[in-house]
Amino acid sequence: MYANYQWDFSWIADEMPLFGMAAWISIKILLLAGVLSLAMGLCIGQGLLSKRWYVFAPLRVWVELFRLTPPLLQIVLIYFLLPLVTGLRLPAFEAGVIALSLNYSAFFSEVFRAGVLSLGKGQSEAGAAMGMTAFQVLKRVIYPQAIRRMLPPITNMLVNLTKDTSLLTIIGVAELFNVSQSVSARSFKNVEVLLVLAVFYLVINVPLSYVANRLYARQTIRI
Amino acid sequence: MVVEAADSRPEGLPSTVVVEVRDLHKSFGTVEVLKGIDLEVDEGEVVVIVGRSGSGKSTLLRCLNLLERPTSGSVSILGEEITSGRSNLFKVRRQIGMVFQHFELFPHRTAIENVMEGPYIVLGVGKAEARDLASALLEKVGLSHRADQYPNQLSGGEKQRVAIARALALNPRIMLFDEPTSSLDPELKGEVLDTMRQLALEGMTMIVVTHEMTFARRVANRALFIDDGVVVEQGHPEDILRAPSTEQLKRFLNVLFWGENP
Repeated sequence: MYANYQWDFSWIADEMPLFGMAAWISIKILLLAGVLSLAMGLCIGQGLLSKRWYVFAPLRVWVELFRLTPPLLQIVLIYFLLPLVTGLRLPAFEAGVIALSLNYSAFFSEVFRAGVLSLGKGQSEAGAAMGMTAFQVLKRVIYPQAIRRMLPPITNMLVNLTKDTSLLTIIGVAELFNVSQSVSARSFKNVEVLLVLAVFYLVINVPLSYVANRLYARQTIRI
Repeated sequence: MVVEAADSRPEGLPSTVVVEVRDLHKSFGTVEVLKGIDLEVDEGEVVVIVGRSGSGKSTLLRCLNLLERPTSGSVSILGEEITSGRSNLFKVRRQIGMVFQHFELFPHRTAIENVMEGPYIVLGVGKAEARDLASALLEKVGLSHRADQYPNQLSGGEKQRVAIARALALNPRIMLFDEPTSSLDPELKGEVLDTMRQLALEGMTMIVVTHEMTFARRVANRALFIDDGVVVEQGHPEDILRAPSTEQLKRFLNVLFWGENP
């Protein structure tokens, strides 16, 4: 019976607009959470490098909290718990973006911290000895060098983030995965729908991954 | 047994103390590396600091521009006490050039960009003016033809000369050298030492941590022998390096020249 399964993609034309809208929402989640988590990760990573315990210790706890618990749990908690604690009810999309941003910022902070540490003390001392401020040292000496080493892990994380946008289906955000479930329910063509869904994720991630590989190759040649 | 420093300056010239260190202590954790150092350096003086590795000589140098924070004691640069916490450290550091053992050139910038960085970023000089200044300094260290090379395209000796030019670009009053030739192949040391000798002849105040005894004898006005965190012996290099009066310095020189303990 399975051998002569009747493939049926006739529903595609009707559902394409819905898929397109959902894809746009997934991309919006990716872009917003990507930018937010990178910005937060940069600040937190810098804080983790501080010599003052009252700066790095709370940040370390914060980072481990988000790094070591499931992102799915964080999404649900932020969506349902935040209103209970603060009385502030966020729409699902915003809550989901915030949860993913917090989760990914924890990982990005480690990437930034490691990238800065990989340079060794000598370079920042050379800048400091010239009378540069700490900010000038970071901007002119550390980050221009560290960013090259950080780019491959950063693009890898962004590829992961694309996949993790699907987690927001749990709180009802109408992104790709969520919409595919509705389409399945309507058309009874579960397998076909999932295959189309896979194509959508590939369309987003294959270029991203290609860029990551190119950057990685360029880096290995230069150094 | 401390020998007073020989003053080699021509008589009649007023001397200005540019570096003044008082009872300097520095500990790393429970290890005390500097155990009460006093040091005065006059303008135009060339002081070499010698000692075994781990004796604290590099730490002393790094305390002078606060790359290391002293545990106690005071450091004054050009009459300003920088250990008081009230001084503008960034401003003081502009007056002190530093040359490192491992060069620490910025690898993402060309030779001339490395030299421009100080004037352009720290002093706020215009880019064109910074470039002119940098190319004059590269010419001074004999590297005009290497201006557009990246550090990894330069030899060790060339890197260190670019590093010296980079430090000079801030027009410092004092230059610190932290084992500037220690990571160089023997045949490359000469070009760096020549550059430093030239600088000394121009009257630059220099404090040099080094194992180059020939440089010490020919160029320096004073040698300081540090052992176990204290100044054991100091004086004119010709005197103390030829005829050391302490057992520790005798032993150190023996190991340095003959590679063995007597």
